[in-house]
Amino acid sequence: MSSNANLDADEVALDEIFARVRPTPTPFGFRDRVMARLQERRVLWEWIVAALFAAPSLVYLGRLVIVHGQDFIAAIGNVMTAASSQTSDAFFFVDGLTVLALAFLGIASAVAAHALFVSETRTGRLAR
Amino acid sequence: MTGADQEAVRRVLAGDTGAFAGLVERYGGRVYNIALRITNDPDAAADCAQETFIRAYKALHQYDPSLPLGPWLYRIATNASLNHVQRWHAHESPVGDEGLPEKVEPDEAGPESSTLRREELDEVLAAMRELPPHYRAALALRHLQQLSYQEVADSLGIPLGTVKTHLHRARAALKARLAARRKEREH
Repeated sequence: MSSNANLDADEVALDEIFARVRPTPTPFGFRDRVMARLQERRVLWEWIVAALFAAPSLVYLGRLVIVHGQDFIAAIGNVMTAASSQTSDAFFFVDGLTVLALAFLGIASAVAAHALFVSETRTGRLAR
Repeated sequence: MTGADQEAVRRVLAGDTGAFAGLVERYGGRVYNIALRITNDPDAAADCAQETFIRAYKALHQYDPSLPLGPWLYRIATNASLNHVQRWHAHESPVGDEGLPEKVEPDEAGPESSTLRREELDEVLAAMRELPPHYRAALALRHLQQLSYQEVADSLGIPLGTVKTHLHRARAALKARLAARRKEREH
């Protein structure tokens, strides 16, 4: 910012008049609103990332339940039996894709939880 | 650019979003006042000022730290405000003199002199509101933000010569409007 010491002759009068205008203050909470909008943008991206991880995983797991639902019920029954008795012959099978889908779902949940946490913190701060 | 600006920009680029709050605090008033003079609407000015900082945040990696931050922000603010005015031009209704309450520096010469000067200032600002948006932008940057010609040129993104022409025409248009308003009032 520079001072207008080198004003042209025809500028001086106008500049003197404008010099008396006091700046209008920014609206109340302006800075918080800007920062909230910046946070919103970040949170929006987090929700998108969470959805990208969660959607294919949920579709795959949903398909798995529909197609192999009986196997799942049997596997859960086996696990319950093994847990409630002394025998250790419980058998169930989990393929690699299911593990991957569950892992992606976990990542999506973590990202979504963070987005939710940030939103809550921001709302709390602005409400104060 | 002050050292504080440079440090804040560096921190924001390093991922510290909170450091941006300091820049909003420091430049918010000037950006808002530029937008206010161009849009003639406090609500639109607040929106444009917010938009300015959002755009600045997104484009901060494109900013050249060897140049002052102020004119870079003012350029974004001017573009956002001029875009707003162009977008809403069809719906634009002229804002009355009561639309923008002006705060005037207190006058030491007494209340009478203060009233006269207040009237004079009101007239000039009302006449300024009737000017085309790019003239208002040039006048606001030069006289209200006290920028040099070069800084105005940087802020508006136009050549120095064009700035001088704009300001010369803006002042002439302002004088003509002031004369017309005074003539109108006398009749």
